[in-house]
Amino acid sequence: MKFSGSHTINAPRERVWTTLNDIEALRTLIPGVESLEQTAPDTYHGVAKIGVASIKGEYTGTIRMADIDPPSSYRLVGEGRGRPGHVKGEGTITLVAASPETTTLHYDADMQVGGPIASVGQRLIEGASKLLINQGLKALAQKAERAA
Amino acid sequence: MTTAEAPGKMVGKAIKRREDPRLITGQGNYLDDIKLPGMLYAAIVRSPYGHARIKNINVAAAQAHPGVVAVITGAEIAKEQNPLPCAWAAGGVQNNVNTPRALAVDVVRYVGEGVALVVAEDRYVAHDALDLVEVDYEPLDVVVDAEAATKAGTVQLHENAPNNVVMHWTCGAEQPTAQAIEQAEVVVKQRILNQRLIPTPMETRGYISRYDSATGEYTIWMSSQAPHVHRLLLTAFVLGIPENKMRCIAPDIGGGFGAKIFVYPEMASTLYAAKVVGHPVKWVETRRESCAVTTHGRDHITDLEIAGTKDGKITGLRVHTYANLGAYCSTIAPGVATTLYGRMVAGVYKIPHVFVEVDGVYTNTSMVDAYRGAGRPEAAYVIERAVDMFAQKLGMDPAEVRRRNFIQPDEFPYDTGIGMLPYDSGNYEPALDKALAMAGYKNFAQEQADARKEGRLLGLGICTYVEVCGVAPSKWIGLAGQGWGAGLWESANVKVHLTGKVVVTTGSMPHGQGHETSFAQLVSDELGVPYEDVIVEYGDTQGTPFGYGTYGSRSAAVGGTAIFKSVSKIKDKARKLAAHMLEAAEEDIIFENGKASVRGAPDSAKTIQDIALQAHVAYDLPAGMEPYLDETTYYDPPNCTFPFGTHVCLVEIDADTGKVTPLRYIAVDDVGKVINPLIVDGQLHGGIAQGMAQALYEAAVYDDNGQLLTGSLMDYAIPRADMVPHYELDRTETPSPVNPMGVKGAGEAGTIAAAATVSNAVVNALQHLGIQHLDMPYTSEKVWRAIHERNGGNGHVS
Repeated sequence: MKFSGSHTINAPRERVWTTLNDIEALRTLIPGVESLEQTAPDTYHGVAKIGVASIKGEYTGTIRMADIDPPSSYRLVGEGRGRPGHVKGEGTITLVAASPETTTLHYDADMQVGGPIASVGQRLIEGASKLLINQGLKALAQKAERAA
Repeated sequence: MTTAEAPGKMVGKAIKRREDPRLITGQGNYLDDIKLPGMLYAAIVRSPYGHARIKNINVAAAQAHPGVVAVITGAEIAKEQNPLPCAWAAGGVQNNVNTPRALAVDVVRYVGEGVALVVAEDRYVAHDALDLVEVDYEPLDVVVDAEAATKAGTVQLHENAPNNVVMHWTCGAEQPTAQAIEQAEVVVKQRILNQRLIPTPMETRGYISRYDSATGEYTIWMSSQAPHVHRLLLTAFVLGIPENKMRCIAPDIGGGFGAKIFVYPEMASTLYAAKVVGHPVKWVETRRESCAVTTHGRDHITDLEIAGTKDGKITGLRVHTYANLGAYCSTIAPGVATTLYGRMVAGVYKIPHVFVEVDGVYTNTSMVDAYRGAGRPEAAYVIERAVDMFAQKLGMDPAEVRRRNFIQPDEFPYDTGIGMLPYDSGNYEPALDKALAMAGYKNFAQEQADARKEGRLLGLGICTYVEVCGVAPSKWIGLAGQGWGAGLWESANVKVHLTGKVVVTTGSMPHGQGHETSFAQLVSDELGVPYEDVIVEYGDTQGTPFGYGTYGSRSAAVGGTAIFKSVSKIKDKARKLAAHMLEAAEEDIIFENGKASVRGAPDSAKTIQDIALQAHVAYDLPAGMEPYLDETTYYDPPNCTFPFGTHVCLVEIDADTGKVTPLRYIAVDDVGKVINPLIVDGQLHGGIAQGMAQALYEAAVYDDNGQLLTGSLMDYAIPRADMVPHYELDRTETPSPVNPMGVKGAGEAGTIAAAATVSNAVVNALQHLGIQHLDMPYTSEKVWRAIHERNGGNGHVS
């Protein structure tokens, strides 16, 4: 499943970048996150609770930031497993300065799911994921804007 | 002693099934209704990956869970058991056979493959504990498409199967066919897909295994279409124990459609578990498991070329098929994809040159095996679509093209030249005429043209099918011939008790076909006893003679004939005893309507009940005669039977949405002599629904990672009653010369014809847009896109 989109944030690119590099940002971006701890530089381990249709449950996994190119882009590589199945994916976030005071955030993600969640929920995951990503980005935008 | 009057003719009567009162009022006895003292419950940890190495399995947490009795892994069972057998490799060619084990060892090759078995005090605990089994997988590359799997550089599923090929098989003559196509006036080429289906019986699979440590005997209750075959394969091949150390019992079966013919890993794993834990172990499949791991059906990628003359004579047919068999060979999968498919692609036509190639292929998907029709729906789809495309290219009436190529009634038995047994009998044109008359075919072209002016898309599809039933002469189908690993006869025992009541035990195993009713009708007429006095028993290897099971529409033609012959033997003995009782010569005794009498002296009659009493009490038997009327027959048919017919479907397509609505469905079938028209109609209704469902709704879909996207009935679209039309059924009757009753078989005809019929109707509705073919299922989106693309991006067609 591939997702992509963009968002305009009323904050300078540097500030958005700082917000994005905060562990709090990841907590906001990852749907259903319950806990998230840094285990190595750029690597985080955590638990997320997500439910789609009848397939609900906890995923345990890691997420790693890679190809960090401040203040314009990084890649997130994640993998999680749980009772409902497994999730593997990666996404790239790119920041473009639309003006000194506004930033355009592009995201591009590719996710693979397996196990029961794939056989029962895949049809619903795409829509649900888009919704969650959009919610997360909105929250992030507000955070960057407030940080002024 | 009662001397019941001889009954009226029961064969041919549309009587209601005697099974139904119990089955439709909740009085049936299905696998999950059975509860044994001390019984434990199993659940199975299944692979979430399409292909992965099992690095480690940690069962400690699950084992420690309250209520869990044992957690069993594949490595443990592999010390005791062999892999499951493949009993039907493709005939005459090398088969690179790989079969599954009770549970996977080291590598999993499809989503849902069993990895560990949890046995617990109740089934909820067993299912809860599945989460506590920690399996460490190393994902491997995955291939799900059969054609892609054969290409160089693709991940290999098994060491002994280069390019993932199970077998390469051909029938017919390659060079003459190539030449016929090359020299033909008209050739049509097309790739067609016969998509993968999930059989979806109402009752999922389930087994209860018990081991008696005192006697070393196993008993397994099983939702099965073939308990005798299961006993044979499980004992001789999987467990390596004598056949008489296992008893297989099939209770009432809630549908199978082929999927319950096969030996499954859960049979083996529960047998092992029952021995280890010392308790009976029950496993009942969940619906999601049924979607994922009960065998699937179809899944062919076919390239076809049909060639002929401008006036509509077919001169050549060349077919190449990739048959996706899944991750392992299921019990009879290679044989279904070859003998039952390739040898039937000539259909009802005289085609001088036919050549068929089949590549059976391993992929990271659930195993594919026989599903209602088993090879013949795929064959009918190929030839019936091909003939329609040929007619379309010629601009000829598809009914007329069929007529010009039909095998004629005086040409039977007819050999199609591609290794099938000769078609026994047939008369194809009357069925076509009748169906077309019912459909009002002569007015259809005008109606279609008028409808188009109003912006409505009407389509009419015809399918003139033939299938092979009553399988099969053992010598032909067996190892030296078609590769089947045993015989394919049937058996029956008939006893007339001293009260004159009759018990028939059959090796045949019904799972919805109504054997208890139609076999009783048959015996009632042949023996001249009241229908109510005949009971039919089956399903338990202890107490029934060996039978190969119910599939291939063989129960009436093969199992029924075994009963018929046992009754004949009973009548012979009754005639001898009556001669003794009447003090007459045996050759002067005639047996009719349940009475033996001296020719010319009907008043002297002894009823079958009188004779049965004398045979039982044995006070005065002729010298050398054994007591009792009790006869057994093992019947090996001299040929298969070849039912046929014409189906017609009328559809309307909404050009704005692509929605296909089936308006009428007409079926004129010739299944030979009919024992019970109500049962035959019921079989056709169900069969047609399943065939239409393939055309319009159903498809099993894997993503590129081998994840089954249609893993529940939320996504796998079996039709509801409002999604299929009223069926208009009629018959012609061409008796089979193969068996004394003249029956052919009716269990699969509907499914074999319906997908091609509906497909032809949909393409017929769209052909003025230049559409030659569309692959099933005809979802609104697919049809809308096809219309849209060919209409300059304008979705509206008028």
